[in-house]
Amino acid sequence: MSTVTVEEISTKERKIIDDKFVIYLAGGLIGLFLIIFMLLPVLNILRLSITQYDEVAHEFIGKLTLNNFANYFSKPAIVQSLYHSLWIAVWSMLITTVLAFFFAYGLTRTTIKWKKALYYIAMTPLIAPSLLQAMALISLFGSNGLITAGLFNVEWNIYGPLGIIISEVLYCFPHAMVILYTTLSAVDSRLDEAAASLGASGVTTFFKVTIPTARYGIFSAAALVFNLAITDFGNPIIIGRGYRVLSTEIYLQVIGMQRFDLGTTIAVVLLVPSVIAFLLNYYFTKKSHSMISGQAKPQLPPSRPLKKWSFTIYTWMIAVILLSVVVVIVVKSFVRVWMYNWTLTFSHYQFKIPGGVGVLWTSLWISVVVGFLGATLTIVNGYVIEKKKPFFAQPLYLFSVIPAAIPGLVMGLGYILIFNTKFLNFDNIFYGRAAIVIINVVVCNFTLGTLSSITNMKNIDKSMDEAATSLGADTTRTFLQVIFPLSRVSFMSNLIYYFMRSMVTISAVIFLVSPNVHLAAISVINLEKDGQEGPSAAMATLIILVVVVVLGIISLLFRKKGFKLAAENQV
Amino acid sequence: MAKNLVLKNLSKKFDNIYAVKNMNLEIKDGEFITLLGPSGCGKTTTLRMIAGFETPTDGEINYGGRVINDLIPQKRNFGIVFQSYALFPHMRVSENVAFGLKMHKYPKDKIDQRVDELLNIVGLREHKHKYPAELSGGMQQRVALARALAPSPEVLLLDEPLSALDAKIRVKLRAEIKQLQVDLGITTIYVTHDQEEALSISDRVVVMNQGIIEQIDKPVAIYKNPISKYVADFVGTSNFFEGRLSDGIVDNPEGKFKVTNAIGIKSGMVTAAIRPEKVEIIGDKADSSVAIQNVVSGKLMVIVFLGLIVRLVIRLKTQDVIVDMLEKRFTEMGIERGETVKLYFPPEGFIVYKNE
Ligand SMILES: Nc1ncnc2c1ncn2[C@@H]1O[C@H](COP(=O)(O)OP(=O)(O)O)[C@@H](O)[C@H]1O
Ligand SMILES: [Mg+2]
Repeated sequence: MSTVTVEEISTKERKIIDDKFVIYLAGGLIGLFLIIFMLLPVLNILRLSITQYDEVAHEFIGKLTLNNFANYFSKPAIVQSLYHSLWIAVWSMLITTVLAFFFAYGLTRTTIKWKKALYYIAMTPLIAPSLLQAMALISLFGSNGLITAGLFNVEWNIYGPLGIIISEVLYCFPHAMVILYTTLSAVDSRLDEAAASLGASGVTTFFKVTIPTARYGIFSAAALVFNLAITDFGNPIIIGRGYRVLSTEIYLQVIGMQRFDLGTTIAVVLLVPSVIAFLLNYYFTKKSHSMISGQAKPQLPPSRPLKKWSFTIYTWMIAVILLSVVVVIVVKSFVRVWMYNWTLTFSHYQFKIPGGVGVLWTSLWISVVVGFLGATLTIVNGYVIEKKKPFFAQPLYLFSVIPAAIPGLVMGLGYILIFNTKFLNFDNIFYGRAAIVIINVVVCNFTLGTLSSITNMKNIDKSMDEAATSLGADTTRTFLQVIFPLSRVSFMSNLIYYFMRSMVTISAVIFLVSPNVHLAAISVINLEKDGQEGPSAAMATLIILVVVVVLGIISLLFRKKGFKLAAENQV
Repeated sequence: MAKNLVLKNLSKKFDNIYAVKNMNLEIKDGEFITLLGPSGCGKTTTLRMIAGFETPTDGEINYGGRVINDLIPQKRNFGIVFQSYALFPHMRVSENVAFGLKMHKYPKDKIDQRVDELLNIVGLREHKHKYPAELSGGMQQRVALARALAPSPEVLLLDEPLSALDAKIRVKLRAEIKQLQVDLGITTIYVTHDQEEALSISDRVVVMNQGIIEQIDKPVAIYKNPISKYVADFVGTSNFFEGRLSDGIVDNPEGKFKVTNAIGIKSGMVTAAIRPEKVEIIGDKADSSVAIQNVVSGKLMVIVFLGLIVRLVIRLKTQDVIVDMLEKRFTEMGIERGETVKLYFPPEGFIVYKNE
């Protein structure tokens, strides 16, 4: 080492904005954003549900009353929708959790082949609106279904509760699978081996060790499925026929009859089970994470042939069912008339709807904006909450996790009741309606985005921040030059998540679209309700195509740079 | 003007537990001072308060005559080297070193010049285009040092900078750090739990124990005159004999030890400490029936060759004693393992501490 001379280099007078101020500003703005676009709409619904309504003028009159609830519970047809919803949700929860558990077990605890392919196939329901399942089921088992009418020529069809339950199972499958997959790969599988080496049979080990150690993951998956199934709107409206559930009831009361009183009241009724399910999910997820051992995954011993083959058959059976949902819709979009005329055609792709195929572009640009806005807000939010911990970190965290508890439909209803009134109308603002759609999707999916961003921040050592600070960087520059580059992967996966949610969401935005701002996923539902099954299949196919292409491009870009997507890291 | 760093009654509480309590320390301009103590004794907390990452619960930090308790870290202009290096993994070596210069708005050409200068100093000029992950631990630590020094900080803070490295590199790097510090004349606060490292590198050592300072002194003084049993135990190796002190004699189950260094203590329960190199082995051929004062016999259990010296573990009736002696002399004496030997504990070799 040579000696050094300390040269006094004249530094310009540096202006450092007070770090606290920047954090207060960023966190405060996000908090304000959530208060205005999440808390107020929901509180407003609660308020309106106990406000007198003029059924003739279709407006709320300022008096507080419990009449709406009395009204609600006096209409047996509507009250029934609550029982229907619970019935659907409970069955969907039980079936999905069991099916997904064994699927995840096959991927994590057996040595079946093609695990990665199976994992991706299991994720396919995420890339389409949650009515694709109902559409496919109707095409196969409806009154004109390929299997019911075509193959067996029976009168029986799938409309009603059975159809809804099967659709929900197919739709919720990946959500439950991801949780159970994480749980089963994290819980030390050596416990199983230890039990086996002590002489326990495979079945005993499974029930006495595997299931108990994974129980919190199982409960958390079940609670999530319950929440998703009870709040889903797309599938029940398509396949339910006369079988009304809470979400479809809200829609019909509001859109069909302008009964905002009943709409808000039913929304409050729906909020109760969905909030409870969310709280349980949250609680069990925390519990489950605390049980995860940081130990490296041991190599799995080769499964016995019987086990291996049973799981191969089982997992592929499910994979084929999930895939066929997509295949049926894609095929349907290319045949002239399903079941009657199987000639190939592209005519369904000439959409005779307001906006035509343009709705796809609207969806696309809105989703890109949602992706960037959502990913940016949640990464900043994660940084503020986890790394900077201002005095309001806890309430900010609370506000950030609440959205997952609020059904999209309720949030959407809340939006039109606040931002689309004679006092305040988003249509009067330039791009106001698009903006409100974007904000709604960002808010509705804020929870997962923030939680994954917090996890990411936890993985960045606090000395990174401090090193930058001690070298003279203020919070903004530390964030932009150090924290953000280190969070690229997390940012991208949040961006993808938001993009996908925005492309496929129905319930959150169904009250918000207009002829000006029409979205592809909503067009699918409108076309399908209209009986235009070919064009609706075509639009659904285009949505899937766009999502797959965008995902493909992003993962290619990232692979080049040596990155892996978050989901890939797990397989 | 000389800028001293003065800690006055500095305290930090976490959830009602003091991590640092009433710390008083004056660090002179250009001094190399080390905070030494076991894990959890509050070294890092002290350093982080000085750096500005923790706000003191009580007391003040005074730098150059100015209280800096509330000064934000960016304005303190203190360089920090972290235990984990905390290099920015997405930046090349040169970008890491340039980071602080950019933040301080150095002109572009000055930045390049300064980066090269620093990389020369730490001998990593040819690695400037690499990413941290492509370097060995020792090289990464050098980069961290270069990065901390680049904006010419007035004080350098190092938190266990070498603890993640191999023993050999550790010794080499600590010499380099010391040399660099002497060349730059920069006030340096170094944190370590390694007493050998502390003694070899510092102008003064601060021995800490559960948030409080036990002793502040030059390395030699700390070693020769540990102020408490804790320091005697933590710094270097000591043999301890507990017993009742009266008339300059400590009465221990092993025997009665005459002590001369019982300063200020007249009587009561005490612990007499003696360094391994102060204990002497006297000729085994000596008459074993005669009990001489301060001579105890024991059985040689373990012999560890450490190059110039050997370390012996000798079992007495109730405890083991560690003895260091020159290897040459040990070989001359021709003692074997398992043999009984006689140990002489010179009265002036003991330091006596009052038991709490
Ligand atoms: N942020 C914190 N919150 C609570 N306790 C802390 C925090 N940081 C340090 N401590 C506690 O303060 C004590 C001193 O810690 P530290 O300064 O890191 O010790 P050292 O660096 O000497 O190992 C320890 O008991 C530690 O657990
Ligand atoms: Mg420490």
